[in-house]
Amino acid sequence: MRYLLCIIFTLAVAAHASDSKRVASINLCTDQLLYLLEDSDNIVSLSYLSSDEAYSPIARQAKIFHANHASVEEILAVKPELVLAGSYSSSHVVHALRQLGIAVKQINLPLALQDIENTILTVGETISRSERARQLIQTMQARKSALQTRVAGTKRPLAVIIAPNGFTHGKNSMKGDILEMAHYENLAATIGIEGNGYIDMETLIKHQPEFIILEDSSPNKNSLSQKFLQHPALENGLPDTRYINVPPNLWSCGTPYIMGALEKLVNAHPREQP
Amino acid sequence: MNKTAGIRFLPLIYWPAMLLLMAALILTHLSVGVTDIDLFTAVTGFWDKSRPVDTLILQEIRLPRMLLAVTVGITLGISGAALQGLLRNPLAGPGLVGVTNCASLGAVITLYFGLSAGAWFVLPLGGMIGALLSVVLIFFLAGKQAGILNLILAGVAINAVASSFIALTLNFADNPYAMNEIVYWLLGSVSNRTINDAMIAIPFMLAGWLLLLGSRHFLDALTLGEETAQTMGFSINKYRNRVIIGTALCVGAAVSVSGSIGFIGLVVPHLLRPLAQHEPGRLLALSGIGGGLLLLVADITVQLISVDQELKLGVVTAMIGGPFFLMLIYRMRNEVY
Repeated sequence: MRYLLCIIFTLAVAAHASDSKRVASINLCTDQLLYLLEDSDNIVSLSYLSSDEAYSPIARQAKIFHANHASVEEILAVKPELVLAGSYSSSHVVHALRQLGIAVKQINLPLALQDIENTILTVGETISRSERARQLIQTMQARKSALQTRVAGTKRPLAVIIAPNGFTHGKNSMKGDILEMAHYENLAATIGIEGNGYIDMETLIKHQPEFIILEDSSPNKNSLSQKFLQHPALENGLPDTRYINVPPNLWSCGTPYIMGALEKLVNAHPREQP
Repeated sequence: MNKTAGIRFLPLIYWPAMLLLMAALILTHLSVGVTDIDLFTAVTGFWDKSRPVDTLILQEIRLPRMLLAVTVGITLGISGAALQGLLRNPLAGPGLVGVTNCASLGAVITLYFGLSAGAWFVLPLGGMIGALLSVVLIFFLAGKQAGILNLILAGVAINAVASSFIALTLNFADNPYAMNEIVYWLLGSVSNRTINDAMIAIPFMLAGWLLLLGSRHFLDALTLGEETAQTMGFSINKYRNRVIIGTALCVGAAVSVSGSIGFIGLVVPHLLRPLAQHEPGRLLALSGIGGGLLLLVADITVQLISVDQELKLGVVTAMIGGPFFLMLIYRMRNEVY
């Protein structure tokens, strides 16, 4: 027994020594990928949003890591060898970090579903975890096809995602794609919205969608934009519409966690035969 | 003799004409929207148990919007005429002297800090308190017999302070959407308003109109000077407070559900003053109807010109009102020199 423990310990130390690195991330979405692909010991900081339940699917787990607000000082303090950033992260911060000799990799975050796998591979390559990245993609694909078979061949009910101000996701958008993958007809795509856009109350009532997915990640509801989601027309004008609750943190980023959103949608699907 | 007779019968012509125009514009406003609905089906559908979609759209979306466009327009028209009468100054108007922005500030504070979720009357109350403070302030800053210069300067100062406080409040509000909504509060809009919004604001607007209309004889008398008005039996303090409170009630309530829409309160009384034979009392009701008409036109316009990203109402009213204001200044310059 003592012998066994000894071996494990030696192996662990060896693995640690050969594998030790210091990676930080300053973007909510790269946080998730880093968390999935890298050993916790090697992660020196994640963005503060990752520990916020409203936005992050890994809020509980992220609390043990140092939280940064994407400021140069905070990042320097944790002495990373590599920083992962989003393609829209502040260019000032990225520039400053590079000047101070820290490698920064800006990841092109996926805007549509088919880009997710590439993003995972890129992050995997960047942190030398290509094998784990491939495994992650396989698991994701397996989960996806398992979910899709449950709704295959059923009638596509009309559904729409609406966020404050009537913000919605149409054709070739991440959330629109997931909605269609779960075998719904996306109203926003039907009325011709490409990518993300806005849908107005009249159009909503005119088309009488069967399902609505309300999307509001902010816990504070005191604004006119959010009043759109409490408009009495939604209740009085759409008497037969049902609501599907998809926690916003599941699909705020193009990461494997969006399969959780797909699952919620598949679970709520009426599965009527055509 | 002939001329006086003509003037006496003038109201018999313009009142029916304006009301007819109002009815036509209301119908037009109701038939304009993003989707095509058949107004006839929609109206007959009210008595139908299986509510057709057109009825739902008319009832839940277009009706509240139309009601607010009309009542907010009436409010701005009446209060503009009343302020011009009270301050005996043609440049007074709820927007220019800062009443609407202060009302916005009051509404913003109650909405973004969650106070308005407590009770239905808190939001209009916030607007009314803001409006009241600004009318009182303008009255003491500009003086009883407000000179044009004092009035405008006081208005500029109050407006600047109010709009910066709106920005400050929205900045501190713990809500991701707050800062974007500054456009709504400074430029005004009645889109996506609900029947509840109309219901909480309209009673206060009605009360304000009644108070203002009740001061019409006083405003007429005031044109002859405060002393003359007093000898005619009007208690200056009592009636002045009545106008101030009436303005605060209706403008505060209107702005709390529509944001501050500029220029209507300034332009409409001017356009209609000749019809009222320069009697401030008669001008009140006339300006009210005129304000309602103008805001209906403006709201029809914003819906027609941009469908995707709707223009704010204040943009259209300022485009109509701005040049008019310039013309007014030009004319007044000629009068002075």
